[in-house]
Amino acid sequence: MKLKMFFIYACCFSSVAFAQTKPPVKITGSMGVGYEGYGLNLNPNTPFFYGQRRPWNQFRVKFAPTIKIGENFSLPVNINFATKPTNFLGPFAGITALGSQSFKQWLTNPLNNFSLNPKYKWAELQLGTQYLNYSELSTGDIGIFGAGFDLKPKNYLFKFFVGNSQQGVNFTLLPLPGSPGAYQRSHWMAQVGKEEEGKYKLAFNFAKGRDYFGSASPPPPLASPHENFVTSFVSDVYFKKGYYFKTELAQSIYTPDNTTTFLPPPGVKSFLPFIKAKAGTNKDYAATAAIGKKSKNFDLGFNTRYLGAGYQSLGYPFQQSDKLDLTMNTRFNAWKDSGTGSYKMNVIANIGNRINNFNIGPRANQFIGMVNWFTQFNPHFSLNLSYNNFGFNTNGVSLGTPTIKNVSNDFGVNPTYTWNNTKMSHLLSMSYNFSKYKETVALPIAYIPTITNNTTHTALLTYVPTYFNRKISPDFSLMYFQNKINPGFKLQLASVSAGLAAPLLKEKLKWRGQLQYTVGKVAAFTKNDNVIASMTADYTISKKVSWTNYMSTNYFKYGDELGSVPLIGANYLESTVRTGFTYRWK
Amino acid sequence: MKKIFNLCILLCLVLITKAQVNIVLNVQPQPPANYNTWSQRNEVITLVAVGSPAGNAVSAKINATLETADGSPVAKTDITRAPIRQIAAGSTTILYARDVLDPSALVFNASFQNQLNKTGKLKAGMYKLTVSLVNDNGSAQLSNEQVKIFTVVAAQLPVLIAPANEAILNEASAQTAIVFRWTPLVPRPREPATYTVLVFEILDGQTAMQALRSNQPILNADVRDVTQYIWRPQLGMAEEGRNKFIWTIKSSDIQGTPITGESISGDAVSEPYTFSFRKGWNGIVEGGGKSVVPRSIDSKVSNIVIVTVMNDGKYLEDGTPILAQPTIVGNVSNVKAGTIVKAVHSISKLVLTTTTDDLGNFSLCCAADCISVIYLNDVEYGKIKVLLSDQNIKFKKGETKN
Repeated sequence: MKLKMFFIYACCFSSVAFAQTKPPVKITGSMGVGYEGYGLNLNPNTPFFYGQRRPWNQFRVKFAPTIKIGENFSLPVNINFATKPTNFLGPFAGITALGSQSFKQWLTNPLNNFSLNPKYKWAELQLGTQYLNYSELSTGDIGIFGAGFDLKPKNYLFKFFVGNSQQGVNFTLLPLPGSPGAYQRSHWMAQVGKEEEGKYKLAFNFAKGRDYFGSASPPPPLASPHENFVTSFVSDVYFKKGYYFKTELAQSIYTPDNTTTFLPPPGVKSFLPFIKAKAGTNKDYAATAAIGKKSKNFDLGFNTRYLGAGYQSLGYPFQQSDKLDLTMNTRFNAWKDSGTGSYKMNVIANIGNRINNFNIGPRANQFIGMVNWFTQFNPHFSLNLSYNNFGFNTNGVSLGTPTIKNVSNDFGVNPTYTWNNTKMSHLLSMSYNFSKYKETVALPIAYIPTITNNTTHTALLTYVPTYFNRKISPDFSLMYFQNKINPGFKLQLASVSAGLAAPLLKEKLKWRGQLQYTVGKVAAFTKNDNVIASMTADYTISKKVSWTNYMSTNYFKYGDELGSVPLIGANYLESTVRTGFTYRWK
Repeated sequence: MKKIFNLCILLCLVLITKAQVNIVLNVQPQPPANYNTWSQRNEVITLVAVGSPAGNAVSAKINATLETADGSPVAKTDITRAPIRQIAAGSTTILYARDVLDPSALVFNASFQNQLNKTGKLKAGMYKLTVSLVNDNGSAQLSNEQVKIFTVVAAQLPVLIAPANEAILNEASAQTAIVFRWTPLVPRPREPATYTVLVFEILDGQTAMQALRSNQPILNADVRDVTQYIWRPQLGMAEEGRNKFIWTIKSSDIQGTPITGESISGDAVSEPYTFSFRKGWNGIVEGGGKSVVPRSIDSKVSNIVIVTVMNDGKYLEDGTPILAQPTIVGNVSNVKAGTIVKAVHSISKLVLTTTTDDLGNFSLCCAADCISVIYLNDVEYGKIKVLLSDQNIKFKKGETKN
């Protein structure tokens, strides 16, 4: 009996122990391979009149499972790469001119992603390519290949990451279009703070970026190696009844050329050990603030954003400095339905002003105003009205440069009517947009303004029938577009399109096709024609494996707008094919 | 050609005059406001110095004075700190901004120094630069004096106007024509600038900035001196998930040289904007009848997302679909696989959750006899009503019930 009890006890114990040492493993996510092919036939082949706009051939590989072990551990994997670099802007632009990429360049090319993010409870390890957004002013726009962590014990925040956003790329002129070159750029960033979701967030951010001069040979002739260090403090507080206050204060120290051996000017101090001041180093500030109230039926917010003329962050390379933005936004619901208690009217409005060259001058003012007014009159009929105003004004007379004033007014009306019966529902949507854009350029000497008036009309009619007991989903639309610029330019386009979606082959094949014909007329030239046909066909091979396909063809025939023979009637046929297999863990 | 002409003039001057060195100063009429970049740009300031063929080699220092147009001092060379330059007899020496305004010797007026320390830029305005060569202690002038007036204006790259940032365009309209508008370069160049309109597709799994930095542009069109472009995209729109784009403007001068303005990216591109297309309809739900769940009037869910549920065509008066069974079978269009669909019972607050598959389909058990609010990724979308099965027989198919 004792022996029996021992065996039962041993079995129970071992099964418990087994359950503890072998927790359940669950894999989700997907992996797949895809091919994209592009074809372009020009008639005539010369002279050149239309360029290739996709790579001829491209293979893409994706491996993105998430492995979950037990309740607390997960391992998301993201391996995503393409075989042919297609970089056009940024540090890798024109890299194909150098032949093949080095392994490091391939790893850090923004075309590719290689990341592992193992996470245990509140601790996450970040390995490989990461797009980390720490805050609006510190860093957040670029992908960095490296390593770091994101820890959130209780309500505390500890984040750190170090890596490279780009490798050195040599400058070359040939083969055309050449490579402008780039320096290797390394970054590190850290965040320390405390956050309770929906209540507050307080955090310090630190972001450093540095270029290495010796990393490109020959170096880029039009760029110098930068160095930059940003510190910022984020403070978001959420009060009762939906009130909130958010702010970020930031300081940047920026050296445009870190190879200089000259000493910094008086008044510019190093911030050691993070950055050493040199000749040309400058220190400037930026700030954002938002205050407002959010509730179910009413929002009101005021936002401001200031970037000093010398404020720079290598984490936001396209950010424009020296500007002040002031915006106010509101949203409210009105016209309560007494029966259901829901609201029938929704209004969203924004108004804002931006001043560019705020410190350096001459200032340029931009005004942006927008209102969108939606009303659901009854279950069948709704109406959307929208109005946008944009103004731009710069006074250059005092500097001997032209004064520019642009004003854009856009008005849109979009009624939608739906009706049902027992077999189908119908949706009829109409849309009309009117846009008037006026540009005034006044030269400083004669002060005789040149005014360009530009008006656009767009009218669209869409009809979507939905069958309740049939499996086809068609849609139809008609459109007319007219753009008129004085003096003497007029573009008119009229198009008709139809689409159809349906499951086929016992619903294993999901098919959707669309056909569109457009006739266009530019000024007094003869008309041009355009036909586009596209189709998707997604086939479910098994519960986990699917085969996706996309084909499109685009035929365009010009009138006589390109010039004389042989370009009269010039035409091109552009084709795109995409196919791929996806395995989805379920 | 201009340089050769200057050199010829200079040689003539050297032969006619008795100065030990003759200099010619060239300054860009509108140099960049970012003074810190002048030392890297040879085109900003050029000083051509020619030693007299009859004399000996000259050891000289550059004495530069920078003033505003009204004569207020901006900066002056401290001769004691200026390096000595050797100008050989009869030979030509070309010096640039880094030599003329040598950072180791130039002393700025306090207010301008503070401005530079903070921004690295000179304030917009007209300036006067006076340059001559002097002896070691500055007591004797060794060359003629040259004076140039120039205007500093911080170049502003175009600001994008339309489509506005994160704009959602109607797909049926956008596939025929999209109007791009932007502001011109400020100051407006004397010769017509070229604006290159660039549009990049944002592929599935890419961030907008990643697409900008890695993809081939789907539109790459040059226009000269106008700030509008009408794009006929000619893209097949049958495919899902290919409806997000990022666009920008690249500016260049008449020679094709990029105008980088004051931005640090060096790409001469303006701050980019994104836009996407709104699908008119995409809800494929297999089998049975289906209804679109009306969007809550204040829903923050993108209006390209449509939730469809299987039902038999029964609705409350406000369009809320009525389901006769506690299992909701539906579809969410234009969302990624794995989108969390949550139904919250409006009285008991019971929460039931599921996720969409790769086609956007989902099924969810829901508490009956009450209105449930549907959330997508925790953002309120709309509501449905689920009946107890015995209530189902109280009205016929196609009727509405309050």
